[in-house]
Amino acid sequence: MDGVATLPFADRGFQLVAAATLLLLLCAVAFTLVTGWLRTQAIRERRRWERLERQWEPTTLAVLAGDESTGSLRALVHGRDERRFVSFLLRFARQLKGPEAEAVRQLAAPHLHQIAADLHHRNAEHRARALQTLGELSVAMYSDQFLQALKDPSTLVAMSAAQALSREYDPAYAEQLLDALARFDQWSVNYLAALLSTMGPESAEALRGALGDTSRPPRVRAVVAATLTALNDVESVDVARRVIEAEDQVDLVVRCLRLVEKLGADDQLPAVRSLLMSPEPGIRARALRTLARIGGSDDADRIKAGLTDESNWVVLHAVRGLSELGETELLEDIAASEHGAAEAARELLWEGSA
Amino acid sequence: MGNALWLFLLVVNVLVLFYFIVLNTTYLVTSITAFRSLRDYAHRLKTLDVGFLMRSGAALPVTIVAPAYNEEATCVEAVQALLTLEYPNYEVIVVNDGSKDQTLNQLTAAFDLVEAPRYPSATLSTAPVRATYRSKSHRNLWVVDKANGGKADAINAGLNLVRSVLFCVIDADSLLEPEALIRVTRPFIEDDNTVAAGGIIRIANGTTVRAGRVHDVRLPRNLLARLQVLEYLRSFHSGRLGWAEMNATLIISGAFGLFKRSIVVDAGGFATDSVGEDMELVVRLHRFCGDNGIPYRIVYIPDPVAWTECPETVRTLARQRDRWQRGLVDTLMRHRQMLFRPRYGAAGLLSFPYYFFLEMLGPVIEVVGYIAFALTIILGLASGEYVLAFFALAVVFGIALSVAAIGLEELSFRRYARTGDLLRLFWLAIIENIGYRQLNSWWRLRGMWSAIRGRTSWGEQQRKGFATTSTP
Repeated sequence: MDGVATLPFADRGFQLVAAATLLLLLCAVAFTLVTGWLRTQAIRERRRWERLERQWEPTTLAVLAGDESTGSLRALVHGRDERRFVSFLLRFARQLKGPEAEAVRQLAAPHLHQIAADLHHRNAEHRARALQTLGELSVAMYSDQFLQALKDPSTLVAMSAAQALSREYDPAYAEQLLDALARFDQWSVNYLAALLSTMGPESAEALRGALGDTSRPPRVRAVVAATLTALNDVESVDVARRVIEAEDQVDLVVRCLRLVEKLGADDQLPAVRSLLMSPEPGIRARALRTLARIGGSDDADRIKAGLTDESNWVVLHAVRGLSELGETELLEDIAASEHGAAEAARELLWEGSA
Repeated sequence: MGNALWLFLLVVNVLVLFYFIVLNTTYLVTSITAFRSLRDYAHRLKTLDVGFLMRSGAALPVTIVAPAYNEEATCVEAVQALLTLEYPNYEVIVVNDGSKDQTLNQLTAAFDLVEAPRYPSATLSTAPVRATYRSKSHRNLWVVDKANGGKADAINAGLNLVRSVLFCVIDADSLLEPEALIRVTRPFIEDDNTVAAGGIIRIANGTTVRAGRVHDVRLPRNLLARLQVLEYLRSFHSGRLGWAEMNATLIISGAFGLFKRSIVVDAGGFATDSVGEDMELVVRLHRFCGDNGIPYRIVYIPDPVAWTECPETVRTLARQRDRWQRGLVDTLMRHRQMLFRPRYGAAGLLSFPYYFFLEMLGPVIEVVGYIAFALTIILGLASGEYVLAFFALAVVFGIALSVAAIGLEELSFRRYARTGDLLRLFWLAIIENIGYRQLNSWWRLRGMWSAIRGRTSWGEQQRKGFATTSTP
């Protein structure tokens, strides 16, 4: 290789590489030290936490049993441990109910100011966590902050506030919660409905108003329909019928059909029948089930027509609908045949016999 | 000739240097993004009210689809674990993909299976289904027995029977943690646009399994398995989390992923002619949603854990890496139209090019680079000091990234609680650079070669079963 020059990696390149190596080496050492420090801290924290718990638990149980005064427990809680103490009480608050839970809340009340300070934290997760803690221990003391938090720029924070308010069973919050629902337009309808239904039947009137209110987004109304279904609110069936007749948004119509299916009667039959020809398989399927539930033997032929639907979902619901109408012989014939719905019929009959 | 060689080595060395800088900068960026994301997630985790989801009916129904092929050693334990998950509304469909061993008999005996019809909700084409069974002891357990058609085909057969909004794919030999399902459904609850979510896969070798649950987490004794623990930490904590932050995740592991049923069926189900069907589906979902203007999110969340057994011999590991590389090449070549297309968002502009140029072509560049480097030294074309310095840089960069991944683990979940294991992880971060990384490049290069030759077989991994102890 005589006469061939060496590659142009001169001193400067070497210096650069060496400097970068050194820098990365320092980073690696720093990461290692930080990791080691994190481990040491974690061990120390865990031990401290265990020690405090051992200290607090017997006295807390004695206070809850009425054997000791709250003062004896408070004497054990130092200022710097107040947050830990609240977390400690939170575990009890989640497990207990009635007067005992109330006693835990009273124990926590003097220490909540530190948690409340986090409501103004710049990190949304911290704000949400503070709301969640306060929500479990004392919404009443901070109700203004909770209502304010419904408008927080972070949906997570707003959701934490909504969860806490919904657990208060106070219809006064229903309107604010309904107004806030539009903010959660990406959240699952099931989840939102479960959340609203924790408000209890006292909120049903406001919910019925929201279901019929065409100025609200269809998704919000779908959530409301699902909530009213969960609350078994019979009075909302007629509102649901009007929605079915007037609207075409799939989720909203399906949720209203579920409501009618669960709580409806003959009055809603014409509206439900009209949906059997809907271009949406989801609506056709749900309409079939609703018809089977609230209709009579006159509707058997309509439901039978669903057995030849192009959608497997509609076929499945038609079979289940016929079963609900007591058409067992027909289903047995289908199951024994080469009919497209035979497997669905066989499945249903097997379930009945198993 | 001399000048030509000089020029060739210059070009190769510059190319390798460029590759090295871009690759490690990407790792660095994803690690930094992951750091922020993991810290936020750890806070966010505290706001998840598992109890509310369990009690309220807010949890979305889920069907778990677990394909099984010759899994007699682990299938009963794995299914038992699936049946004890903490989730209010779920079904399990195990698909026996024409196993040649006693998988079906083991399941039949353990779960009292009886033949039962089940009407399909979709009609994806699959190898013939022989029979469907339902457990008499666990009403939410179904087993599908079908002719062998491969993993994707087995998942499609299960998918045809799914009736819930969401379905979860897991390997029949993986163990899910009890709360894994409820945690992985969270993105679907918080954002209706979520179409897929994956969790972290951790290595079960070395842990103790009791009643289908992992206890006593510790590093495996086998060195290869230990090295893979570190590799998985780096890949999941730094890589996937970073990409997920940009909605640019291209891989959700087939060992544990949750999907919206309707969109997967609309997109055609899992590709039966791909070796990397898990990655292929995720890339296709990006493409399907992008082409049809469907708003979507594909998410990775770092704490729902699936434990899986990893290879402990060089031979099986080589086969696995070969298969992964073939899957990667196959997927990227199938969907190469996505490259640099803004329509596919960050996936088209960032992660796809990253996987295409750095992960797919990486092994070629690396191996050619090793050869060119050796030649450069042998022929005396560059100073030994420079070559040594460059090698040191590469090693130290690798160590720094691995240590960062260990730090991320410590910052968040701290699964390896023994201080000895933590120290061993640091040690592994150093020694993996000597031999293991080079071997990996070689296996991946062989995988590329296999892909070019059109090999599609899976190869088989000998499962030895989890280290179990009896229930106390």
